[in-house]
Amino acid sequence: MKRTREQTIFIVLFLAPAFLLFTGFVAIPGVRALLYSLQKWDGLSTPEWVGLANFRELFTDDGVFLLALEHNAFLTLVAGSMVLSLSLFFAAVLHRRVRGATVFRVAFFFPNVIASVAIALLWVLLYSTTDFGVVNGALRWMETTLGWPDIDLPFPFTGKQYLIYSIVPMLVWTMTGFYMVLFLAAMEGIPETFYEVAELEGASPLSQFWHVTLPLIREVLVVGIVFLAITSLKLFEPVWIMDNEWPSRDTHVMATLLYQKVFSEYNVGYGSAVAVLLFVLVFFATLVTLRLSRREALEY
Amino acid sequence: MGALIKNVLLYTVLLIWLVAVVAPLLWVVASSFRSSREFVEDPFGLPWLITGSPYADNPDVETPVEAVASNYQKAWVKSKFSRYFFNSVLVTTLSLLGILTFSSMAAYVLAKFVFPGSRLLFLYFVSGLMIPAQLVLIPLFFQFTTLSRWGTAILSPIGYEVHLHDTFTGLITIYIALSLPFTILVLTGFFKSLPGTLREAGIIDGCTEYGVFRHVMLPLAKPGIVTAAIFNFLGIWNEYLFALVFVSSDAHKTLPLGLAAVSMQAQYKTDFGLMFAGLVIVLLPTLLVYILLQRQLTRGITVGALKG
Amino acid sequence: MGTRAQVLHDRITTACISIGKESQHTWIANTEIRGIRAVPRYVQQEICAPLPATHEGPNPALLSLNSQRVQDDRAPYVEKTFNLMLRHDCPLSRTLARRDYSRVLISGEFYFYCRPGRLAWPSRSLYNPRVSKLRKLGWPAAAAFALAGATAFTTWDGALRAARPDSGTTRRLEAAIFEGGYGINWHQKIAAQYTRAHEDDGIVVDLWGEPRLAEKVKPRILRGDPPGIVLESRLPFWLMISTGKLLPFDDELAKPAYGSDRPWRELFIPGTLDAYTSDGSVYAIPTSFGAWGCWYDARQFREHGWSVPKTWPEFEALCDQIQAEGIAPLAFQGKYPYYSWFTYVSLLQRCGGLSLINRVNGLEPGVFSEPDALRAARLLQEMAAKYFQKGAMAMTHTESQLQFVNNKAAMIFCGVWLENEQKDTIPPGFELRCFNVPAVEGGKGNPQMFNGLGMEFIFMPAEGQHSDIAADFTRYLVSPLNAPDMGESIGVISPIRGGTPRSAVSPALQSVLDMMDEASINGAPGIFSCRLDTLLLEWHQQVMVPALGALLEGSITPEEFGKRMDDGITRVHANPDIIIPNFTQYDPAAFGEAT
Repeated sequence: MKRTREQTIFIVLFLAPAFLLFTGFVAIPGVRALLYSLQKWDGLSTPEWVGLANFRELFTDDGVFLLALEHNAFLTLVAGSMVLSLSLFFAAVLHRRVRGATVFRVAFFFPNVIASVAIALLWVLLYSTTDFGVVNGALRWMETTLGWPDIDLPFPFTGKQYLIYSIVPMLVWTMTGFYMVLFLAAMEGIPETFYEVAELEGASPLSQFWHVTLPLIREVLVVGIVFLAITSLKLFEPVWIMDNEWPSRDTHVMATLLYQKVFSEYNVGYGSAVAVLLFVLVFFATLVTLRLSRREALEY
Repeated sequence: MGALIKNVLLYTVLLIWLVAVVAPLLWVVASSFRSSREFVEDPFGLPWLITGSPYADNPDVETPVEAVASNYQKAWVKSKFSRYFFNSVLVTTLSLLGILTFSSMAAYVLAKFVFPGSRLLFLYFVSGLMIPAQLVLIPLFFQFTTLSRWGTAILSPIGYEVHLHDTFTGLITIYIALSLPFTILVLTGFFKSLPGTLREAGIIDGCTEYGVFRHVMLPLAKPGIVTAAIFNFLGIWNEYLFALVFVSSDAHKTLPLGLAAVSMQAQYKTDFGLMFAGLVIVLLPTLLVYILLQRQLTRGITVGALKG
Repeated sequence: MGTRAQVLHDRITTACISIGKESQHTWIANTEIRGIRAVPRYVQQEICAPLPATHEGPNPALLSLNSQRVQDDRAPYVEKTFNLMLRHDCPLSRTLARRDYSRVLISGEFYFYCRPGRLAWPSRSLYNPRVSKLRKLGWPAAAAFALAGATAFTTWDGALRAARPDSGTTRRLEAAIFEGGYGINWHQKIAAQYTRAHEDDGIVVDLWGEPRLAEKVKPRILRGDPPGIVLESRLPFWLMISTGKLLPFDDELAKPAYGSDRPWRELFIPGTLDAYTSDGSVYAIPTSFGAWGCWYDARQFREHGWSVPKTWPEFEALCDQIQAEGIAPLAFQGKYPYYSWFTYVSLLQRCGGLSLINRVNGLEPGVFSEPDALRAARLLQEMAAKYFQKGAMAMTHTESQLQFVNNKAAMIFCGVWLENEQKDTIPPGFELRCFNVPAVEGGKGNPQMFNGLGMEFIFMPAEGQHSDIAADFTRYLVSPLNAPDMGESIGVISPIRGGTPRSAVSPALQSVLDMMDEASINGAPGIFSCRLDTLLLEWHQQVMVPALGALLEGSITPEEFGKRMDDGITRVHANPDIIIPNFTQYDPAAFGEAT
């Protein structure tokens, strides 16, 4: 079909704003980040090309980056697996149409719409070592009634060396609802007949879950796992806020490290190198996601 | 019998989680209705607003109603939450407007027209999903300085300067640009699902391309636009990192930024009432959106996950 | 393709739509609707209203939809009728009623709606070529409108702003002040005074401050838009000096001070200007004199019969005694282990004398693993393990200081700013006093001396606006003229020698002045300080603070601590980018120490 001039103008005009914005404020900066990571630059003097020196520094330096990476990996693995198992459990339970499923679903999802800054602040309060610290209060109660855990209370949850561990419950608290709804949506797409057949064959609910539900939501499950990894890799606010906007090597994750390296220590090259590695990790994770997720899932 | 025990067990677990999720939030709301004195005396009690103040006879102690008023008054006026709130509304509204306009335009063309490179262009936009925001954060910061300098160089003959740092314009531009990949992906899929005959019919009837887009396609794509809008709204309303980097003056701070700053000070001054009131002010709009659009939100969950 | 009329005629269609349980958009995708353009938008939208998730089967609201298109020769557009059969409770019926549909009740349950002969969707404007032309004309107008809107917004927003007005109008100096223990109220008062005095010159000082000033100012330096003056200790000063981003105060220092005829430079306590001197140029002016000591409540000490310790064994005995009485001996600002740095430096001097401080300041390799340095670290660790209040390591400075002023803990190591910082929370009757860090047995240092230095430095970024006002305002702020008021208002001991009279300050600060008098040797102030924390910011943050934290928590030994600190220094030496300026050596002999 021949295209009229009007049509061409229409196409160009409609694409132009998005194209320009995306190119100017995402694509070009993305490429420049790669260039920055090959430079030594303090943001004030003239930059200097140093090749891969920044990346070498990441892995040899005093290990800050490796620690940060380790923290990210820890959060991905520990918090991720907890979120995954809990959300699968809840999704399976709610899928079986328990009474009040909607209430549970709506409530469980709710933390996901709250600003992560607000969540972090809330958890700082919950973890407080003063009288209103709920978590310490509960521990103290357990200690007096059950004699366990036998530790010094109040426990400094937000102290530097415990912070990364303390973030785990917060992440689980926040993210479980999201993945539950995600998996629930997938489970609702499974035809009821599958279960009816399984029922006839005498499969227990557990083996129904194992042999019917899980294989059928496998794709969404994989997508979920990758999303989880990406989320944990990009983590910034929880660490930043809970460590008083001043993280150090005990608490750094990649995002906070790159922020501090650039805007506080003026080490633009190093910070960009961290950003580039973060990108590489996210890139592969997303690539896998797009590969695995069904097109229909994206298009409804 | 076994089934009963199992059910009881299941419900216990569900209820425990329900309490764990809801109780802290109720605690925040309840505490925002209480004065610092009240809070320190019993952090977990009901607000005196409901139970009545034990100091009712003491004229020196503020009444519960005054305490509530003073918490919100302090947060809203003195700690400038009104300002931050307005800023957040402004930034979110304009960003959403920009995102939805530009994305739906591009997505419609990408979905409904085939031209050389159209597939490549779609991939170009979608590849943005793989870029974590942190990657572009650093170059954007320096690029803003450069762009401001260029702009000033161009406009200085007519006596104007350009400043992208610490302005709404800069922040909104970034928000729009960063949200394009996600929104374009969602809307392209959506427009593709609309029958092409609609456009042909419109064109044959003498409608312009723009007319078809505006009057036929856009209304039909409303559900998709609503889904994209919800996720973008939540993302931008709660965004912290970019606001932290690109905004420095109080006049331009958004709510999450203001909340972090105020709570940092409130912690030092041990003004709990103020802090909780601030938290409630941040929570409330998202809570409203969530309650109103809860169905669309959870329905579009697969899409939302991509937003990351 | 036939003529237009033919095409239209062909499209007289009937669409019977059945809707499954899928949501709204799928019915369009799944259903063949050739006649869809005959259906008005509002009908489409309302039919589209989602069905409940539990619904199965066809849409109960809509039974059939039938549309007809009639070619009208008189007009280029179409008139059409369309008829719907709807359930009586379908919400769409209300809309149709509003749009003058006639309704016929067919049975008890269904209504038939019809309205013949009316122009329907798409609207007339889209079909009428004349209007279309108008629309085309409207494009430039729309573009102009959008541009005007964008310009208005960016101007209001400040993204587009008029260039700086010419001289002659008001010139505003932006002063950014770190809001720490001293607050910024006094600085604001001085700024207001200064503004009032220069009303005729059109000079205004806008002074603001906040606790996290460094994090706010650093990005602004990076983007070339810093405040005119900055009072903050955690900026990358040496980088800024080497790249010319800071202005020196040399010219200003030669001018007479406010409230004196002597040059400003000569009035400072010797040593206080040294911290940021490079190649003979002074790049920062201290606004206060910092002294580090141990604070206690004299009343509490009196009531319990405790006495101020002079030596470390006495100090430990006192702590044991306090602990035995059920009170925590020491509060500590554990969330910020940096607070122990000054105690550590004091102990370094006590153990190893000024020569050890010289070696530390000189960044000598292995200096933190010397026996004297290890001893200082061990003393610090033992003190933390035995005497710190429970939970201290998770407390912020205000939390722990609150514990102290409420007598939950008997003592706290802190700087002179403590009193002002806790001004609002010190209960009446609390007698805040200070004593010097006790002497250690067999130590090489003169125990009269104390850790004292210029603090709260003011800097002048080169890219800030109005550097002339900036320098002059700084000279005004730090002057014999304002020093007494500064002592009285916020309890600051001025870096101007003798600038703070005893009568102007509280008993707590008088105890600090006493400490200064005692330390004064042959007329020279007996002070020492370690420059590493302000010189090596990255080392400070990445090495020193975590190492101190670990030492205090007992998770590393003093030897490991020394090694971590030394390794950090080794890395500093290996990094050619770190600028290490010369420093003034202390003379141990002059202060009665063995060399």
